[in-house]
Amino acid sequence: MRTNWISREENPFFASFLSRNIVLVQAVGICPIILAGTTLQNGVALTACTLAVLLPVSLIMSLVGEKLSPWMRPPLYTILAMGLMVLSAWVLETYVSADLYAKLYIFLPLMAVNTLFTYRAGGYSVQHAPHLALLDALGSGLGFGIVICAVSALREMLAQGTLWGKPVEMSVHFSAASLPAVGFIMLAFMAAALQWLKAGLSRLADKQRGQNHG
Amino acid sequence: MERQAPFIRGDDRITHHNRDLLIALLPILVMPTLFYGWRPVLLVLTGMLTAMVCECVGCVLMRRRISVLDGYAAASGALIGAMMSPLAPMWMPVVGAIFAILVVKFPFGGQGHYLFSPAAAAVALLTQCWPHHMFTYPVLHTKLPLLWEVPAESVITATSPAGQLATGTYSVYSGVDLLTGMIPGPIAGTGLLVLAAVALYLFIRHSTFPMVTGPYILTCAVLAVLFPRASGDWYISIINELSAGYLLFAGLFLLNSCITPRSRTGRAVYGVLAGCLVMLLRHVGQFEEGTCFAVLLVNVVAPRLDNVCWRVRAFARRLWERKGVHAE
Repeated sequence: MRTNWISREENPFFASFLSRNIVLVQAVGICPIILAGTTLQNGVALTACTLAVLLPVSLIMSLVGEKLSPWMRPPLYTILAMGLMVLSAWVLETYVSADLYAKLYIFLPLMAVNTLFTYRAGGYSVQHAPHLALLDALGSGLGFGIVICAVSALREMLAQGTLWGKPVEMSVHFSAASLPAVGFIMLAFMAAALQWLKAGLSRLADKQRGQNHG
Repeated sequence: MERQAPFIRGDDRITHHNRDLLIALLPILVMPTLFYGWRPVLLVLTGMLTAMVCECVGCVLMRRRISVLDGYAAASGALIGAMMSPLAPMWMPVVGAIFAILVVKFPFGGQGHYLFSPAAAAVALLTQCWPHHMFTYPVLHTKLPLLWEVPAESVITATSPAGQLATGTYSVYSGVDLLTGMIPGPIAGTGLLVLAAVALYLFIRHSTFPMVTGPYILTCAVLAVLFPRASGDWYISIINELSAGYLLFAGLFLLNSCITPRSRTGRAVYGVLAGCLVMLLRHVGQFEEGTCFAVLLVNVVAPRLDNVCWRVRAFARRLWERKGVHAE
């Protein structure tokens, strides 16, 4: 019998990436998407920084988190996340693009205290084995990344008529798309689309299971 | 006709309400048609048709019975078209109607469940995106061609009373002009007398709630006297503020929907809040006309207003009874 991959909760990568998407289902890390996710470059940069911070912090928390008393965990992962975020911001500024850093400069430090880190590094990683924590961090980071990239690409095309800074053929410019309200509306539609997809897939799986048993 | 939640009396309440709104729009359209030709009517019809098509699409997507005949979509689309400038391109009511029905109405659950007035949300979006198209008005008696988009250079434009109040320039329109609607402005926003007659019709037909519109207009008038932007006597300030933009039109058409609170006190508080917000946005807002934003903001508090008013009333009654006991 074929198993329904979407409901396979034991795989933390798929859970955080798709079936219980970190943003669209768990509603974590919405703030940077709404405020900074206005161009695709911002989106990709924020995804890279998130991954660069989340993977090591999750690994360290899963290794040492159990041994620490609960009150010591939040300061530890917050300080770690801040240090790594400062490092990745420095890398972004010196090696990638100082211009991009200037656009993002208030959002990068804010990312370090994002619920994404609190929730994944401080919650899930502490209670799980390192390989599961890493898979979960990867899934969370990419799940956040795919949503912020989709939202920011759409908003960039609608508001400025460009994609990755290059002009795209668009007849109407929709300047309100970079407003926070439109970001919320887009996220809501994407969340609804994900639920619709999941409902459809599980209905399909049920039907298949019924055929196999019958 | 299926009975739906927000309207308590009568089975065909929605149909009746929307039919009245559409009938009330007809006299409003007469003056703009005389001034600018058939273009205003065409804008309203475009909005109306697009909204009806979107309603059908939405019903099909949500696998519901197609409810386009209840007139709700037609009324919303017509209201959106009526709040445009006569010079607005034809695609503006189209975009507005699509947004109103497919983004604001259906995702929240369709008729009776939405949180924001769809027409107000659509106009807010259009104002945000294309303020230039929204607030460029042609001079009176310009016969506008029935084109998809009228080039702005080919038409002499004028400043509306709302624009004059916002920039603080001296009013060139007399009181008679303002009362009869001989002023540039949005299609349905002109003519205090016509709007007063329409209000009377809607009140008699019980299609709008005087307990909302009354306090709303009163609040606007009081605030216009207290914080005047027009120079001159107090009544000049009132007439100028009330005839600027689509303030009265919003009070009659946008504030009365299934979002409106049900208790009398709730409705009065709703109207007063809306009035305060409209005048506040006129003083501090970015645009010359921000009534649609004010409507959206009061829509947010509307669901809780009934509850809050009932609690305050119960509290007052308890206080009163306790006082009575002490007196004995």
